[in-house]
Amino acid sequence: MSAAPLLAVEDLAVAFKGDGAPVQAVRGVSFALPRAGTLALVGESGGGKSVLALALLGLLPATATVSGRVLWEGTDLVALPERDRQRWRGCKLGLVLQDPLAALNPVLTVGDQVAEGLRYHRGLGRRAAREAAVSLLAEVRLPDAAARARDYPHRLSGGMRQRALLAAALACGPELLIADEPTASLDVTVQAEVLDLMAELVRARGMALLFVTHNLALVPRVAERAAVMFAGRLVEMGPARAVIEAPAHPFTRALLAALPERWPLHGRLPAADAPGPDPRRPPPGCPYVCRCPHARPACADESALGLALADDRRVACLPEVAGPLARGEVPA
Amino acid sequence: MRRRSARTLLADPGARAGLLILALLAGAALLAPLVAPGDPAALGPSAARLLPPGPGRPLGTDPLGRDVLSRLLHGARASLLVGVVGAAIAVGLGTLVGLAAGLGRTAADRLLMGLADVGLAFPRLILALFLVSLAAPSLGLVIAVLALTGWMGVARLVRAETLSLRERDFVLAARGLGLAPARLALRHVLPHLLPTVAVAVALRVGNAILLESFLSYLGLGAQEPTVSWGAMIEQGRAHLLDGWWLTAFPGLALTLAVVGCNLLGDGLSEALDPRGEGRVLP
Amino acid sequence: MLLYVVRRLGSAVLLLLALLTAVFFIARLAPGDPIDRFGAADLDAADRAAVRHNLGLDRPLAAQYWQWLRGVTRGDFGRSLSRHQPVSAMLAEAVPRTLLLTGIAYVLHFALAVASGVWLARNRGRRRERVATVAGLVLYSLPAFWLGQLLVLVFSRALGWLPASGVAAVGAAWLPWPQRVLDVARHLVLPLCVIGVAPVLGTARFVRNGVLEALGQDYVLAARARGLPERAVIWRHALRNGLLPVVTIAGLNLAFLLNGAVVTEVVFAWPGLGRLTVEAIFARDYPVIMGTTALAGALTLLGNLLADVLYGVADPRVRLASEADR
Repeated sequence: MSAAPLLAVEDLAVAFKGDGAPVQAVRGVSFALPRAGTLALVGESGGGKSVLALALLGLLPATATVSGRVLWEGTDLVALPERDRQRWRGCKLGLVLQDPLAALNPVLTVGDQVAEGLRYHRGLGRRAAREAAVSLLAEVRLPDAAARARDYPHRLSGGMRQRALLAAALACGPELLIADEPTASLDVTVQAEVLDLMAELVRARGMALLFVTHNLALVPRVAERAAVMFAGRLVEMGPARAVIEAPAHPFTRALLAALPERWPLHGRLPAADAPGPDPRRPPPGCPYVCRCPHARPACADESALGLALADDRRVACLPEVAGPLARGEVPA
Repeated sequence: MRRRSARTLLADPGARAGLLILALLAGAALLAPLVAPGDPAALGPSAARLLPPGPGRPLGTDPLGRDVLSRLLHGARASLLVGVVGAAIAVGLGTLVGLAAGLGRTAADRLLMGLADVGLAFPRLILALFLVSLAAPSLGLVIAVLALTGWMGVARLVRAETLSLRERDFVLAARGLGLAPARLALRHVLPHLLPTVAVAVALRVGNAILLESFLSYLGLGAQEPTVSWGAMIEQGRAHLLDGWWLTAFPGLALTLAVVGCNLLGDGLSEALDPRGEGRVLP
Repeated sequence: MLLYVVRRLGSAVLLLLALLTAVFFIARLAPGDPIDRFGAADLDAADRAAVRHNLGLDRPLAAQYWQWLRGVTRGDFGRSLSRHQPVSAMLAEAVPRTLLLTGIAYVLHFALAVASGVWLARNRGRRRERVATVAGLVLYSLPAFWLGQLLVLVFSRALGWLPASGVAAVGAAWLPWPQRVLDVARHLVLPLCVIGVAPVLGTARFVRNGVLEALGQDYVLAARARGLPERAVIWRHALRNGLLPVVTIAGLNLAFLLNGAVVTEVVFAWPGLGRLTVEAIFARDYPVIMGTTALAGALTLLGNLLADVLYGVADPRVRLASEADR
């Protein structure tokens, strides 16, 4: 590869200070995202996905310590001063949040919120910003965009709010869109509509996408690649289809097993049979041992984990377990 | 549960300071006759009039030659007594009204809350002045006025909490047993209101002390020979330059008492009501 | 929105009526003979009867009440006993001065409260927040009349920088208007410190809590993710929402400031509503006391009404709810 990828995350870790030992929410995460690449980050809630997303934006609270590197075309964002990071947000990175009602300010009009990024980043005047907001709202196919721009969020339906939020995230033409469970609070049909719209806009604008979700079934709809996260670590990564059709990590299998087959869009949270590992004192090696049906003593050995199934497909598991699982066999 | 509240209260440095201040002032008030260096009413010889602080008269003397420290210590009695009793009656009255409105029929609720709203529509001080003007000034009248002008806010607060309590299971169960309304109110609802009430008392005592001192400052509160800090400050008004100690010390004592109440009230609301919704004032 | 205003207006009018009724009956039914309170305590029986008749106190209570209420609704509060002029004329003179004082104090108070509340929120949990809060609490707890007296002692008597009392200097009426304004402004400084500045922590704490609550919301996260500078996040997103609970206490604060105005008017000899009340009490001038009390209540009601309407303007959800009611 000649050019550096758009985004390269290297050995990223996030810990939260609190009473007692710090909570290690994200540990040793590395992945790369090429320009216009799309990656889904999948895992159960509390697994560190959202923390990872906020760490990329530099929006974690002051109690969080971030280590490792987040390289944006070679520039390490973690090391940047806050003033420069702020310019990165909105301009280069856009964010769409889960609950569109909570993510829209109830006392500002939709148009104000869609356009405010433009006003601060591009110095647009009031009128120009309003016009830009209307055309952005039209781009996300909000019916009667000019009138909706003058409305307060409470007058919009859930799907409309989510589109408005998408429009606000797109305002300054970011090169990477981070979508954190963007459709979890919507009805199934609206959910599909918004997802397709998002995927289409990402393609049309040539943006990269980081799609955070707990629902593995949604992944092929929007992303080429999938990364599965458990207890703050990446356990499996590869082309979305391959990960879903031939899951190699026991946790990925459990996630898939939790999906009702007939209603692929209607995924539920994977049932946590057992609690995850203690985030203050994570065990050595694979964090999934406490729930894994194939756990064995070697799992505690970090160096024994890891299997490359293909050039772009890696699993953080013992080869003697992951290999058979990927082939659809039961490990010995 | 209760013990934990007490520990939380003592863990808060502000509340600790408030308790300490109030304990000191209460001690001074109780022991005033024993610890005061002189008789607060004893007039001094003309040579002893309006003397600045010095040996034998730590806080100076007033224009009548009376010892300011002795008067200050005795003044603590009137200020604290009136403040505490006035606020306690106001909060008690407000609690009863709030309970009755919250548990009673709609008509009773409307009437009582209407009364509270009318009371709240007056600036408290103007209403207090209006009421004080209707009878001869005395500390008893001040206490009555404090009670009559201070119950409304508590009533609203207690009513709101009672309304939410009455839908809770244990109250519904008690109603199902057919308990008499008064018994229901006192045995099953009131205990749950105690945190709110405790915070209200602490925060209102400070306010009551201020109101009493202002009325006494105007000459509408404590009458001679009862000593009151407010009246002492008024005495200093005519001697701002040649008797600054007449103004300074009673005002400091008054400030200390109010700060103590506010610190304690704040700490109490923190300890008893962690959501902090009971916090009326800082 | 209109419906919302009309509704609030209706309940305010009802409360005003109840308030006037309360003033009348408290004054009439208080222990003792009402005519003693109208300045007839020292007269003999025949003269007392004459006074009673002249004041209309021998008529049925209901008739007296009706007459008083009718007068009040036309701005007629009777005649002052001590100054022999209509009470309404005295009120008309006093109210603008009180409104000048409380109006400026109100604006100053809220501006300071918002600024310091935001500051407290941004410095949450730091040592300087704790220090500032304790200092603010002491300022808040200062007895207003004592603080006023201290300020007079220091800035008027000792330093001679600012006038100690009144609205304007003697002879100021002959000055050209810029100097007259300046003169009034100089008279306002100390009273404003007492009622506007000293108790600022009370309101600032509401602002602080409101802003902190708003800062934890998703829309603030979304605004930050759009790359807004922190100043815009706080003033545009957090403060607007954080101020909503403050607006609901804005009306209550008018009553609070009127209380303060009474105290400061007495200490600084500011000839407004509060001072008029206190003077009338000493003169046992009941028509005036009833008039000032009723008017102070009416002003507070007006303040609450304005706060309600303001709340409706500030929170689109309230507007929507009232539209949905239709």
